[in-house]
Amino acid sequence: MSSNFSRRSLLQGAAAMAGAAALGRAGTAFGQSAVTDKPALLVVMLNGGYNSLFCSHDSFQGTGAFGCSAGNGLALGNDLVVDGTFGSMPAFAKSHMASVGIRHGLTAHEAAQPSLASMNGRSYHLMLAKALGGEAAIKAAVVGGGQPDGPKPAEGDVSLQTITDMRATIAALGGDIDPSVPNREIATNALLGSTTMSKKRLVRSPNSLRSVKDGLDTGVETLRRQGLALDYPGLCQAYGVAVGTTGVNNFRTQMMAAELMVQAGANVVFAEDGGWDTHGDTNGNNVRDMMSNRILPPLNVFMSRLLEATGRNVTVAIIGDFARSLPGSDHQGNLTATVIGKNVRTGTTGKTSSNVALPAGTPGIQQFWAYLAAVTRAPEQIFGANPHTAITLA
Amino acid sequence: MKTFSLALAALLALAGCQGGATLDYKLMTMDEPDVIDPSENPDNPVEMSACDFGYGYEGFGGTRLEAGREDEEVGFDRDRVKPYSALSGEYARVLGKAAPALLGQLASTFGQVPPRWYVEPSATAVSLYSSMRVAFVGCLDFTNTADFDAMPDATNAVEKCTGFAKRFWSRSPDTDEVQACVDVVVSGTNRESAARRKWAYGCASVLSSAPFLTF
Repeated sequence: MSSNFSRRSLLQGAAAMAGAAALGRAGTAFGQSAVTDKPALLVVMLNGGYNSLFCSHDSFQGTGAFGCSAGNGLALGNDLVVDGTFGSMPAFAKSHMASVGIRHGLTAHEAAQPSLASMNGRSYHLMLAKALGGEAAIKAAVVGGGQPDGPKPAEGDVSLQTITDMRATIAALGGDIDPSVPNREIATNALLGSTTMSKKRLVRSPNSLRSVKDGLDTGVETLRRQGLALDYPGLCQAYGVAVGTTGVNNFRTQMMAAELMVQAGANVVFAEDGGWDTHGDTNGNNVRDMMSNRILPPLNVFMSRLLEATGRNVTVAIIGDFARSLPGSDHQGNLTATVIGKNVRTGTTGKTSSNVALPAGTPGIQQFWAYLAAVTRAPEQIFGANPHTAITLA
Repeated sequence: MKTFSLALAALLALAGCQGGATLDYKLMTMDEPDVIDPSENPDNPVEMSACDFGYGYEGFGGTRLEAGREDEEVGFDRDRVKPYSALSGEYARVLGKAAPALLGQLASTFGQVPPRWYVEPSATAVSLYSSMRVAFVGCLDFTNTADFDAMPDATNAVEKCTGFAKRFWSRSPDTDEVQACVDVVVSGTNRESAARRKWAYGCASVLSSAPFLTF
């Protein structure tokens, strides 16, 4: 047992005792996660931008910008009004949703994307995945081809693993019975042998072959795990994917792979969808169409299967480079994100003005990650204090 | 006593002359060229001095384009992961047969690059495990001969593992590399009863290591 595990266990034990004491006084809010719930964060990155019509709908109802009116908004309470397209989400999602303001001041894709994903040469995703701990071999995963921008150096033994083929992943996780797959225990020994044989070359090329070193280390740890009781046909049926589909090459298969990784114990999963640099979409029809037809159907399946799952604390964050500006749906120097999860209190810190601006004093990117760390119940404030306490269930 | 002192002085003078002669002789010997061992493992780290032969160029704003570059030793960090497009030919080359069909089914796992695009190949836990699966399928065929009917032991495994490495890596393996393969086939395959399949696991471990999967 590692020292990290011991420390985390200690923290969890202390938190559990504190939680039990609090429960004795006031109980917990409905649907809130228990301190022992296994955390997981799914980051949905809409590459190009995330129009605030979805998460600050009432900001535009007065002017009718982006096609917003009182008739196509959805009031969820505590001053949060979202677009009517979110009405298809599971009830639990709609009662545990918040809009989070991020005043980053960035209007170029090349600046916004790496800034949202990294800080001082380190990856937010990997830092959080490391902090959340656990015993999973793959703690941080990218489903599909799109990667978080910016530097992504491994955080200790946690590196970003790309999942582009579900069948291979299921086999690697022991969830598939395939006669061509070598015996798990022997394969572990064989891969350990391969690691020893690779040592000299990996020492000689520590940077250019870093992915090989990380992959071998993670692969051995993955094989050492016991097989998972994955219901692959059931997973296919739930997501409307034909059995036998292997590639993770669209948002539907990305969400299916995301569930697979969450079930396997991943702490952070990143899924990117392209086509959201929607210049000229002044009535919002383009983004509504993509949200309704491409994003929400599989995301709703993911949320309906995992948000309320016993023993889990799954959080979903929808972000983009920035909001879309007015009048031309161009680049706005701030962003309002949508976050959904057991520890999210319905409300908003990201309500924009009618011209899509966020108030001065709205926190920035690092504070957004501090919020994500808070709602996923990271044991330490690795990104500093969470300023979005109004939308956090204590 | 005086006689003894003179004798000692004469002996020391003689020893000094002999020492000088010996030193000269050794220096002459050291001038001879080194003999290079042809089986030297190129993966072993070597001490090589870095040279700065680059020209300086001035970029916009008067910034030297080479500013911030790190000087590295020759041969450092030059290895790359073999791209998926090369693996089919590589498996066929070393196994002497067509690459396992499984490789073709796992194209997306290895991140097959679309035509006319270049993406630096990289490995993941899943792609490396998939390499192991492909290698195992190929090695089951490769070891399916009478040559691999003997149960592996500490003696015959050295010969076979050395043979695997020479064939797959195009070089002689070092002792520790052979031992890693021996450990797999002798003690790492206890759950397997068939000799040929035991050898196939050892073969797959050699074929899934960096000396084959990178270049």
